[in-house]
Amino acid sequence: MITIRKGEARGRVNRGWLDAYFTFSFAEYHDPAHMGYRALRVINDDRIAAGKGFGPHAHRDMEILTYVLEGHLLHRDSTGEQHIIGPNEIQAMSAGNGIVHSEFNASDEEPVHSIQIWIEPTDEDLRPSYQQISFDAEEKIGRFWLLAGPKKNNERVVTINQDARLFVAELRPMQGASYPLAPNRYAWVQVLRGNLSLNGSRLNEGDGAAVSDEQELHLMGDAPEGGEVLLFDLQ
Amino acid sequence: MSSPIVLVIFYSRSGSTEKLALAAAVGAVQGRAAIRLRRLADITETSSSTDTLVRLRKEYIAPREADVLAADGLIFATPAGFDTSSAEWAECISMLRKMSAEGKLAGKAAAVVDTGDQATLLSFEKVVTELGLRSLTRDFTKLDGIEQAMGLGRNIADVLRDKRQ
Repeated sequence: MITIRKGEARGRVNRGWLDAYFTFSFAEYHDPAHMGYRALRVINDDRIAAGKGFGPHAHRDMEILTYVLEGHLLHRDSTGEQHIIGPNEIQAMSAGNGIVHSEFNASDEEPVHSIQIWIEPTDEDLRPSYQQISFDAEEKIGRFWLLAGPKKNNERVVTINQDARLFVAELRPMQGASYPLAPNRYAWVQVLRGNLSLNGSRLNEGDGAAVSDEQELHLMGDAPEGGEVLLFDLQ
Repeated sequence: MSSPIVLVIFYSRSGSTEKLALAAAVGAVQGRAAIRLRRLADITETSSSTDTLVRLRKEYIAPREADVLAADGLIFATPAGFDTSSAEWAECISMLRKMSAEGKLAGKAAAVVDTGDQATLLSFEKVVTELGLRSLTRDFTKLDGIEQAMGLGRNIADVLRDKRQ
């Protein structure tokens, strides 16, 4: 079964410096029908103005992933980590038993477009940690490229404390990629940009889809430019 | 039951006291409190405008009455030489005195991070008492500065959480 969450139905906040869409309930946007999907709790599509950002704030017991589409984000946290993340990188911050961090647009001239994802961890009170990995832009073209997973079985994958995997794929028009979904597994598909079809259903930029009881996901890029998508494989 | 809110008010120019403020905030989060971090605005001129100072000015906002009203507990952190009589703290302390006179601080607790200067620490403890705040400053002198601050944050969160139960 595939249930589409239309992009325009998402929550939205526009504070001038921040224009954000919330796939699931977040901050002042609260919809009991959209509180998350399985362990996936947040997908925020943020556009942050030049030089602006989120001042120091705290998190606890959450796996927080950041994926940048355009521009660069400057991350600082209370463990002493300070990094800039840009396109074709994945950042994972495990909040564990407590972390304070800030995220600012690293540029005073260009906006940044980023996706922030929260996944509930399997355990509470873990030690906070930070990981950031880059990959070649070509790796995600025409296939699902693993960004995050529960075990570090690949040096280029960030580890999260949950039985969940996050993939990215960029599909050009008529270019397809398939993903076998194991029995009793669930998936969430989120279109980051462009247009695609999922098992024959059209998905536009910003759309999401909850998937259950499907054996295979087949994504295909649609005209005119194809699209980029995140795929979550969830318990 | 919602988490208690701890407001960390600090002043920092070089980033050293910011680290202690962050540690206190992390301790409060470990104690399952929600936190707000507020940095006092610069009043007196500084000869250098370092990258750290530019960043601090960009990342933090100054405390407002609404922040204090929303908080169950306050944590103060300041570098040596910036006691309660300093120009940087004057506006904040004045706001707190006004709120105290209006009964708006009733039931709130406070703690002071020891940043290594006894005179500064004592000036804040005196003000905490004058404001009618419940002092939760604890002696963690066996620990290093960061651990002390973290312990202080955790302690205030624990006390506030117990009070709510």
